[in-house]
Amino acid sequence: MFVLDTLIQGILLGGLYALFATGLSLIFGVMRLVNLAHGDFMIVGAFAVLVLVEALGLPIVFAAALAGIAMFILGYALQRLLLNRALGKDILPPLLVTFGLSIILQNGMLETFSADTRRLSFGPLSEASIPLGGGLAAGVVPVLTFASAVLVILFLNWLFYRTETGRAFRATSDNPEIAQLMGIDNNRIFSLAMALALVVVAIAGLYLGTRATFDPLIGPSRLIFAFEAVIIGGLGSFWGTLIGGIILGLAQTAGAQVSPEWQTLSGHVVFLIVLVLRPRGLFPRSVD
Amino acid sequence: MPEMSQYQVAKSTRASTIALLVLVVVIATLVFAPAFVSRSLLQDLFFVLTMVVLAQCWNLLAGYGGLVSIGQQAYVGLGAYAGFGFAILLGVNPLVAILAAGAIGALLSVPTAYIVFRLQGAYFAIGTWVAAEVYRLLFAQWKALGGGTGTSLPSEVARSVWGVGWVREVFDVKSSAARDIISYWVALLLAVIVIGAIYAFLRTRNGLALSAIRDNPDAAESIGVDTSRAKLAVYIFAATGAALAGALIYFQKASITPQSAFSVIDWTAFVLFIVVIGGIGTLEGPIIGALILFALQNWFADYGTWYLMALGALAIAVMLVAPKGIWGWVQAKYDFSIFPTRRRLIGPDTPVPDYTQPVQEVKAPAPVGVSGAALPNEVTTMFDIETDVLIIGSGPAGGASAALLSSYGIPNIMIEKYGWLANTPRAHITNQRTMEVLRELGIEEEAKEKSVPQELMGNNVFCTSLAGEEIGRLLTWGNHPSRKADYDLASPCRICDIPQTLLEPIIVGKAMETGTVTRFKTEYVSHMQDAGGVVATVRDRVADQTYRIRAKYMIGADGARSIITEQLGLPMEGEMGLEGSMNIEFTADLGKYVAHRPSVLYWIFQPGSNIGGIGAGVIRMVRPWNKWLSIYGYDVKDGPPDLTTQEAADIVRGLIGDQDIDVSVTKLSYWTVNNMVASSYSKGRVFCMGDAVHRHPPTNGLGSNTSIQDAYNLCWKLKLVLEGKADESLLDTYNEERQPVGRQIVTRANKSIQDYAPIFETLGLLQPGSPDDIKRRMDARKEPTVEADARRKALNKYFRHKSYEFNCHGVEMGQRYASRAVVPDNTPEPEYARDRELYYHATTWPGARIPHVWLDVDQAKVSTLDLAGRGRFVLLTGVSGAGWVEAAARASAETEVDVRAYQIGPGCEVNDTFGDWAMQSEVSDSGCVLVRPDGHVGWRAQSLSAEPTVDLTRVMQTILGRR
Repeated sequence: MFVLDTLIQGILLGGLYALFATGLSLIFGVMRLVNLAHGDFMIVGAFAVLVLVEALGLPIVFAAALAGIAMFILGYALQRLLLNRALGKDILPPLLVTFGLSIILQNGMLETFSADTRRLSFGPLSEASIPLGGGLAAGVVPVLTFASAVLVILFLNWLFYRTETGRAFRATSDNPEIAQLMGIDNNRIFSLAMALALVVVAIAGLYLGTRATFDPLIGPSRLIFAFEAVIIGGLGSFWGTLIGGIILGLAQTAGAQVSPEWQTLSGHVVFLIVLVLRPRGLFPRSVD
Repeated sequence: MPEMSQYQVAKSTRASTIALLVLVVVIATLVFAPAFVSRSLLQDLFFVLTMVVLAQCWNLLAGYGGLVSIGQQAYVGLGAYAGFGFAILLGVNPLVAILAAGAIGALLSVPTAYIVFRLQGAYFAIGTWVAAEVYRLLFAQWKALGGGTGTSLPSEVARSVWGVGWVREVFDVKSSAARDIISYWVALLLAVIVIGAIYAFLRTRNGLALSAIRDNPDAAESIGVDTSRAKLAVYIFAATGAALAGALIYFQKASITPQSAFSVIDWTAFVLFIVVIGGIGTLEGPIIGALILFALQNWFADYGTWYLMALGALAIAVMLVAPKGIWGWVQAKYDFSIFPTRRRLIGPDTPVPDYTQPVQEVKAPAPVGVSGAALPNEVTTMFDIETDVLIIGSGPAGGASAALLSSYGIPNIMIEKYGWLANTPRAHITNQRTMEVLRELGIEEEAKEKSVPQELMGNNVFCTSLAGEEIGRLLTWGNHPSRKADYDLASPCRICDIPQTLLEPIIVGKAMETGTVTRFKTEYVSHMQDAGGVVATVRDRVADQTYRIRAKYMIGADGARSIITEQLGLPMEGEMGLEGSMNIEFTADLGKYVAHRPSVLYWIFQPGSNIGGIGAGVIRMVRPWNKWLSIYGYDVKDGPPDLTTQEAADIVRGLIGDQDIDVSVTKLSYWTVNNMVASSYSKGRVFCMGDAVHRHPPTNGLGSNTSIQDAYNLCWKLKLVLEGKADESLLDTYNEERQPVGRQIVTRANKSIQDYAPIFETLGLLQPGSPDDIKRRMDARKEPTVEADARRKALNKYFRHKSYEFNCHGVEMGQRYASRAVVPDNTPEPEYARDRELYYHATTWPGARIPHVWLDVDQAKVSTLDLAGRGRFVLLTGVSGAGWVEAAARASAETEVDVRAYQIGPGCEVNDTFGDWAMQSEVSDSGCVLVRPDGHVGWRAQSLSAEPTVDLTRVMQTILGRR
């Protein structure tokens, strides 16, 4: 029963990590950019929801929708004005620009919101849980998180493989020069991808804030979780990212049973093991 | 192919040859720098050199090897922990431990590379970061080196560095300065070797291969360049360099935590910044970048978050606008290189090489977090506590702060690393000024009950042993009739002797009774500051749980081994570990030796008792007359002697001079004489006090007293700022007022030690010889000769001079503050009629403590000091000062700060029965004296002014920092 409980909690935690990772995976898939400020943008998202809830008194779902729109605009502008200028053959500029952004975001939030830990709340739902029989239960919020992750991935797969925009995404990803020749405006496509990714980030931020506390400086550690989920799952597959998140969630939940200090460490260890045994992750896209 | 001989491959240019010569001169100058630069400049150079090493290593990795790592902190931390492990656990000399740490870094980089090399490009970057996190989490489990909270380098390890003795002699410096010099040399050597090795490597085949693949991977591959081995070599080299630098940096810091040693900000973000600003892919860039970062840090680091945001933005801007950094720009403009790594074809038609080596585009870096910050966020299930003021440490400074803040109604939490308060008697002389604070807190009587009164304190004996010959005696602590009056007139309180073991529970008891929350067995780990306050991470040592406390302000009273002052980077002046000393606590019935001359201190002049310690052997009364403490020195160069109880008892018997007496040693501890003061007591919202900022020997008995006065000065200011009644700038006056006092008492206490040397000299104890020789020399002063008479006179003079240690009333009571919280009345500072250290000079001159006189309130004897205090301002005026009383009421209403006015004189609420106030107020009957909550005069007026309300309100606004 104890094992089963760990298993359920681990899988549900994996849903959260998959949400963290999907945005990262999306950006890398389209433009081969690793956004080192990804974790910090999740915290920005969480604070955006918090401000809308506390300052305007909006219901949290409504606030999250507004935050999503704001993040969409932010992502588009960011890519258009800054990141497109850094993209190129060399991997260093985007890496270092996003690292710089990460520092600016962290300290900007620290200045604005102070170092206090905060939390978002779904009201009574926050504490509610669904009995599963046999004394087991799953929290409503973790289940919601997991369901959201699945929905986000379903949506992205539909977008990528069933729509005109998705085809442009894939074309740019496969060969930006040829795509451009075919009349695709790469800069616009990249900006759209970043805007979408930040919407996913806002959703991730919402659940990050409701499942646990957050403060302006925890972005980098969440980026690492997202990164691990992506690598474990294998680059290029959203479903792989979900599985990667679940494996990471299971590893951390199991580690936490040993000792709280082992929670993060056991996640890292599993990641390293996967890296040694399956360097391309568990479910890599066949052609990359 | 004869014509081919017209061509040759050039590896250098004339400019580079000249530059190389200049470089040699620069290095030579740096080698001899310790002879002519100050110690603080040397410490700055150390910082620059170590950052250069780290930057060169990262530059080789990323700029040449294309391996963009953001996990080099892994090797800094590894090196630092390996170094500490070798030195502390295996007893390896630190210099060797640094080399061993480098080897460990190299060794562990191979399996690490095996894993992270499976990732490409940006994923490699995050992979290295994960690896660093893994190392950090693992080292946080290493309990032998302190686990998550880290550990400090034991002073005997620091002392054991080779060459300290030699450097001490050659440069004539103290041992801690000598260690700085050696660290600096090692850093210089490391920087030269690292730069030289990278330079040499880049000029080899492998190095050229790397440059080739960096500049054009396809072309390089097509001509068969294989760089995988070169990349591995570069990775191992960079790891080794970082590990060597890490070990060196942390030996110099002398304490380590996993958070700081594996900090991505300090050891990677700043390093990236250096390389990108300076110029990536060049050897010159990192050197320039390190100098620039150092300058920026010196000028702007106080701006905290804004500074870091600006750094991040600057890095992005440089990356997008001038991706080759400063040196890249210089190179493009002048084609000049100090370290040319290119081979150029020089022929008849190519007098000047016209192609420049493509430098890898771009870089940007940047740092996160704030000064002193750890990122305390592993497990998100922590609980947080909030308060107004968080106090770290429950000694005299922390305890007094807690008690005072609680008495003012300010919420506060105090944490203490150990399970209870002082466990050794330590401080004991409790001077009148301290007793005045206890009086305000309502614990004066309780302290008096547990104390030894002034009358039993003062037969300060100088003798060859307790049972042996008494050479001289000095009446101390105000016990000489001529000084008794000075002491009695100065204060409503009496000086007394109460060991710290008994005083601390009284103070902390009062604090807790009035609202302080005290958490024992709770250890401070780290803190960070933001615009709204301080968040400290602390560890409950019972549950082994870390949690956070959020406070608006933090008081760092964590003692002489303060972690907070180090994390804040408060500038410290002076030396630690000047002399070695030991405390031997023992019980023995010494009544027969002391009953006729009761005292707290008996000074023993024997051959050997002048070595180390505090100038002479001491037997100190802890409780009359059976609990005692001996202070005896050891040579600090040899380290603490690690005595058995038996050996300690022998030392004690030697000092007593009675081999048969029953002595039972209860505790033995070692400490060193320090001479150190922080040149600034605070940074942002953290205020340090007590031994954390002034570290000195116990001579003069000023340590605990000064600590309590630090608290008395700061707490009312915190209260007014927290209540929103004063501007934050009022808090700056804490440093302005207390730092000079700290400097003064540290100097005073160390001077008092030196004053013993002439006594030994005059007694003939300094020359070697058999016991008979020594006895003969000591007896030389008893002869009826002119020479012996001169000796007698000299001794008499030296003994009297010790009043500067034992009757130093001016230093104890006579502090006068000068700061923005004191408004001058434009009268000149009163002259000191007598010696200003020995004698307290009462005055109401703004900045001085209000003079004590006895007044009469409803037949009760009340001191001027009793009218003042308790967190409010008090205005004292005379019978004609009704205008001031009204002004005080209005100024109170205007500023919302309580200003209580008293008219003093016949027919008033307070009567000047003895007429002393009239004699001492120094203002006319219609004048006034404004007293701050800490009993110091904030302002005074000679007579009633034309607009008393306007004047008083202006003064109050000035003191509160609102003007």
